[in-house]
Amino acid sequence: VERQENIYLSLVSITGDYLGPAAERFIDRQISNHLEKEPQTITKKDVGILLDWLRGSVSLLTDNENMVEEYIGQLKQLSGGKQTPSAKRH
Amino acid sequence: MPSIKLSPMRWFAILFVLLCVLSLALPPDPQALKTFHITPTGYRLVIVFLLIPEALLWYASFYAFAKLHEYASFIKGSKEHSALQRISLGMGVLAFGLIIPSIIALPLNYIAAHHEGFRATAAILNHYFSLLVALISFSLLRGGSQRLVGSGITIRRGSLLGMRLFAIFFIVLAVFYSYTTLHTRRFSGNPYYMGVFPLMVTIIIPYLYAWFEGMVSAYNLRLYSKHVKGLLYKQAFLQLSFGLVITIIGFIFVQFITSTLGARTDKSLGYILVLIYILLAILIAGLGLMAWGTRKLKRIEEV
Repeated sequence: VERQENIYLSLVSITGDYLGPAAERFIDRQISNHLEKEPQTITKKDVGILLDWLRGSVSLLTDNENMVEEYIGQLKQLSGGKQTPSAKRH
Repeated sequence: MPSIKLSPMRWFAILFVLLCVLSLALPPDPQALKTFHITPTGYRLVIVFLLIPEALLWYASFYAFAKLHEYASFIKGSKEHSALQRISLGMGVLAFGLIIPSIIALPLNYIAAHHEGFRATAAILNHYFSLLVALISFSLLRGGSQRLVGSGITIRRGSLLGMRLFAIFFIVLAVFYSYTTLHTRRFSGNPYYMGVFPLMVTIIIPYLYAWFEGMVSAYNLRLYSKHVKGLLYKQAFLQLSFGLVITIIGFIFVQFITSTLGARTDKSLGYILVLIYILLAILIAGLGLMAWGTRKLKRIEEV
């Protein structure tokens, strides 16, 4: 449970660099709507599934694709996947 | 604004129609016709020309209020909710406070035009209504911005130079406003219908206090937008806060002009109109920016 909470907190923290005080609400909404889970119970595997939804949602907020890729790259690391080369550059 | 069942934009539509009907239906003040050397038809034309940009300003302020109100409702339960709610309430008082005193002034001025003894009462009431709007709205905006600054983000206070510039600007504004008001009272037929002491205590000092509150809220908003985390949030909040800062400063100048120059009847109508148009344009730009920033913030809560 502690590890799940850490994943949730890391997810909020990374998102906080882009969405500031709105990050927690944003993540809670994404998890509840797309995974139909309690936000704090998110696992590494779930983060992988959520990535595409998060990419789509953040792309609606900015035209800066590099920023979106940078964000997704950081989340990929969290899910245990590799960071994309474009994300590493930024 | 409490317990409004109607949306802000519907309120705007109702109040605007009421104002148009009153403006065009009530006969013009004979003294105003004499002062500005115009016919009753010319007077009504001037009213229409004045109403167009003013309607744009009222629309922009109600629109900005509606957007802020929607956004504040969207983030219920968050740390920023009470702050944003208070700011939206302050904006609401400003929006309603722009149009309602104009509506109240019309019948008051009409009665004053036909009952000379009522002219002083009408002028004093008009001044106090505008002052009340400034006091309530700027106090709410200051309270909201203060809450925002204390909503859990790390903020380094502004530099000493910044504080000094702020103090110097306010002192210059205060001295210039006091001088202009007292000068207008003495050399332009005392349009305030008050003695020096009541004018200072019930108009000058409260206005300066309201403007100080307004300027502190502008300062707080800049401080918050500078230190808040989140690249996308910050971009949107910067637009909102920059728009609000322009709006607050613009309103201070509008109140400054209307309570000093606007009260004088010895200035030409064209001169006053140009000044009013410039200020209205600045205010509309500020309100537009504010609404745009709020829309972006709301978008973050929608996706």
